[in-house]
Amino acid sequence: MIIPILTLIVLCVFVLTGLIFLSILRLRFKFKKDNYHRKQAFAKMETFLLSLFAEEILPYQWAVRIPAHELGYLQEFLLPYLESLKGESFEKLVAVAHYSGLVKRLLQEANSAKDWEQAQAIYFLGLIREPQVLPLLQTGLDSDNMFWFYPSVIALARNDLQNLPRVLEALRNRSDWTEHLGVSIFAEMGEEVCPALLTALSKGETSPKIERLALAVLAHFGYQGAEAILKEYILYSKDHELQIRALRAWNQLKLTFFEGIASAMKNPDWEIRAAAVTALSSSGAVDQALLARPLLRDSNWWVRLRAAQTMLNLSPREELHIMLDNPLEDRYAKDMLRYILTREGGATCVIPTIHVL
Amino acid sequence: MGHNILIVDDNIYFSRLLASQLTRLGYVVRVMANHEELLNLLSSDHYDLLIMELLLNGQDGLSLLRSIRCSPYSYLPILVVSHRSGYVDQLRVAEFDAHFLSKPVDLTQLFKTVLIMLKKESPVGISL
Amino acid sequence: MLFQLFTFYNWTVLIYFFVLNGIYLFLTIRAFLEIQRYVHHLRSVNLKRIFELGFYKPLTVIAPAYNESATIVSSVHSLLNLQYPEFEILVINDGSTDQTLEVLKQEFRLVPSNRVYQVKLKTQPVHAVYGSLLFPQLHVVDKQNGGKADALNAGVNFSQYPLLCSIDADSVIETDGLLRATRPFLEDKLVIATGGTVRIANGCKVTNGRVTEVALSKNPWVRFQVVEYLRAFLFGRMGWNNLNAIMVISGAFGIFLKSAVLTVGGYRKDCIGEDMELVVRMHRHYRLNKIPYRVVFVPDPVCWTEAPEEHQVLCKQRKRWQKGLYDSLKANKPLFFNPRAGVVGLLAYPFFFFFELLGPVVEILGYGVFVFSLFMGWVNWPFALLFLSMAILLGVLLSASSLLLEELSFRRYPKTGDILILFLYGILENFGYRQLLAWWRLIALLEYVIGKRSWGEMNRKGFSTSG
Repeated sequence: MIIPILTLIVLCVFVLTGLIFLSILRLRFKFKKDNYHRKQAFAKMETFLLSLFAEEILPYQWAVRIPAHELGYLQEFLLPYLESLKGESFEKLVAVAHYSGLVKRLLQEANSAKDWEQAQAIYFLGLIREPQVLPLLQTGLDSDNMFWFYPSVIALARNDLQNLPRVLEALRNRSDWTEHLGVSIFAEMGEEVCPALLTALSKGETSPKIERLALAVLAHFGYQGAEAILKEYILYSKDHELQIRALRAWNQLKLTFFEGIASAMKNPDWEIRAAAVTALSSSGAVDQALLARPLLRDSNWWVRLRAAQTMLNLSPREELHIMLDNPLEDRYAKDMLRYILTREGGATCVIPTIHVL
Repeated sequence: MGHNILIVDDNIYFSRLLASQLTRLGYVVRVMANHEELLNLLSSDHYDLLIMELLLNGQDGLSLLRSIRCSPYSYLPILVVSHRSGYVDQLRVAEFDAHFLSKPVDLTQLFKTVLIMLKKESPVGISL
Repeated sequence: MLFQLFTFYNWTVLIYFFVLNGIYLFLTIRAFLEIQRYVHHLRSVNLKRIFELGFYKPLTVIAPAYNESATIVSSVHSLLNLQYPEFEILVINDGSTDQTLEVLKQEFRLVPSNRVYQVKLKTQPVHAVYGSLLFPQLHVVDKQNGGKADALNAGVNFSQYPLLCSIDADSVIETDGLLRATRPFLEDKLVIATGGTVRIANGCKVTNGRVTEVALSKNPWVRFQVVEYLRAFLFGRMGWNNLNAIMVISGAFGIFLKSAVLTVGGYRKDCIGEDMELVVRMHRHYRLNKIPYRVVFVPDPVCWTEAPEEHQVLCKQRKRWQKGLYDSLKANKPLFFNPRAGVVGLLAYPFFFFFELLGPVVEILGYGVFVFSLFMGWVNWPFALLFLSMAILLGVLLSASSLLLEELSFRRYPKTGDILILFLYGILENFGYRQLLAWWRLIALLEYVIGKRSWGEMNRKGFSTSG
């Protein structure tokens, strides 16, 4: 009894191994062929793209020459361009996506059940600011999965400024995003988002993380209308992180000096001191240059570095040399001055990679 | 015209697009996807401008910037066009004396910047 | 009487064999399904872009170093080149007696730093902490020698980020390896640990601490191991993935949630396979306390390691793995057939116990019994031959399926010739290599049980896994 069963099993396993071996070879062959087709399609699309940008053809002239089975390649091909370009060239590519039927197909995919394709489609549609994608976003926004949340929130942000409250709501509901990401989301919305953010701040935002993000976004765009609110944060905020962000924004906006900066330079938190002295530097307040001097003897290396840079920016060179020659001057202050002066002499490479600020 | 421009970006499709557009404007452009040979290349040929991304495969663009500024080619004007555009990154790029444009970028604006940078630097090799 | 015993043993082996291969088949099928899903998923996301924009959790890389003055500088440089938005590197100098610390000091311009830390895990005393003037993300901890587990614990104490990555100093991480291996943490908040696939670097071209060209080594010992690794990592781990019962995360590359490591009390110093033991202990803690969690395996090759090229070294490594397995299982006995521990208690733990730990005993005993019965003239030839060919063919089938999985997914070996050679080695390994491994593992087990608790020399190579 047992012998025939064993024989049968051996035979089966033997045949199966053979089949697997053959399918390995087949896969290899198929992969090579697919690769070849893909390369061909990409080369063709690149030629079209270049002539499109050289204004030799129009978007629809390219679009009509894309066969339906190559739409997948087109999606893959366009994505990096759409992520890196804006303005007229971006609009041309969006037109190609529309004319070729890619958008229509992606909208279908965005409604389909397979989650990876859905996320991918939503990301693409979000990038090209397709309004029809908006009703499909809620699942992604509620999802714990970042690779699902991210395309949805980007699609929402890029689409219309009207969606700002929804974006803020989505971010408020979760804690696992970084400021960097937040800024990049708002960067997608353009500078017009700044007044809206200011209104949100003045209405009293409840989440400190969103508040910090808003300040970072104002700094990112260098939005001049933010002066009053920044002043308020620098003077009255109890949250050190917020104060730092406000000072950084002040620096980025190159606003003029006010006494809040001087008091921030005496703050026990070294990051605030460093940010404050940098803000002094960018304000170009030559008459206040002396304020940076005590910080040259600060206990923290970064503060000393920023103070020295500020002195270099605001005071005449001779004054620095006088300080260097003064035997009573602090040793650390002199070290930093010497360092900053050699650096200025062209040896930029001595700067350690900047860690904060 | 006829300035030499070098582009370092690991997204070859984007850099090839830039290259073809810049060539049409009359520049001589070379594209590199791989930054490892960069310093060798700088020593063998003369370039008037480097356009680079900060996010390069396998290397931090900032340390690449630093190694250029440490090398004999520290005068080279550099334009950083990057997806990474946070406050800290912009500050660091400025510390290395390079211009910054964030992606997504408008090509017209990019070409304008290139034009301005090359005009400013036209007597080649400003020594510091 | 003797004959009855012999028949009884024959039947036991037959049943053992069918159960084992049944489980293998089950795991392979699971692995096939899982990998299909994973590859589709992978195609759909552009990793770099998402991490660039700040969806990540900052990470601490812990690299213990003991007497590695020759290689430490290049290892650290390749770590510095890793692609990850925010990470720090902690090199733990575990009381090296050579120039390791001096070399580091010189190369990276180390200066004493006054970094504050909290001793959450007890370790040997720490002499000093250094920061680098050139790379703000690099820190070196100099401590008294205490073994790898102790060094890793010191690293956990000093780390300031929520994720920990333990890395063997001699392994090469793919530049975007960290990105790929931390992905599960972003997809699911319950993930507490991820492991990556480890591949063999021998024969590949490595430049600047990166594998630039994948090729197969000419050394037969290495080729056998390549097949073994493919099998172990592609289906051994992948198959368990969906059951949330991965017992082994290689010490050469693993990422853990710091809070989870602290919850279970860090690495154990009295264990040989501290990396496997930690994972088993995590399962034990979370399962028995009914806390939802996930341990995930990332099938892409993220880490390349140097495999032994000589049989003496290989023998030592395998003995260490076997002892590590023994230690890990022994330390977590409460899991054994514990219904409260779910799949881990009822399936994974017993599987590792019966088939990985005791496998060599059954196998070698089987050969012994066969030779003995040859003497006594008891051999039923058709049965013996059939059984033998089935054993070999099933072995080949498993190797072949793992090759197929590789073909379906990552295709790291560009030459078709290499794949054919690997297939050939998948057949050849059944004649000698497999038996040799079983023999070494049996010896290791005997040595350990009898009490020759040799720790071997402080060999930092290798990782505890079983083939």
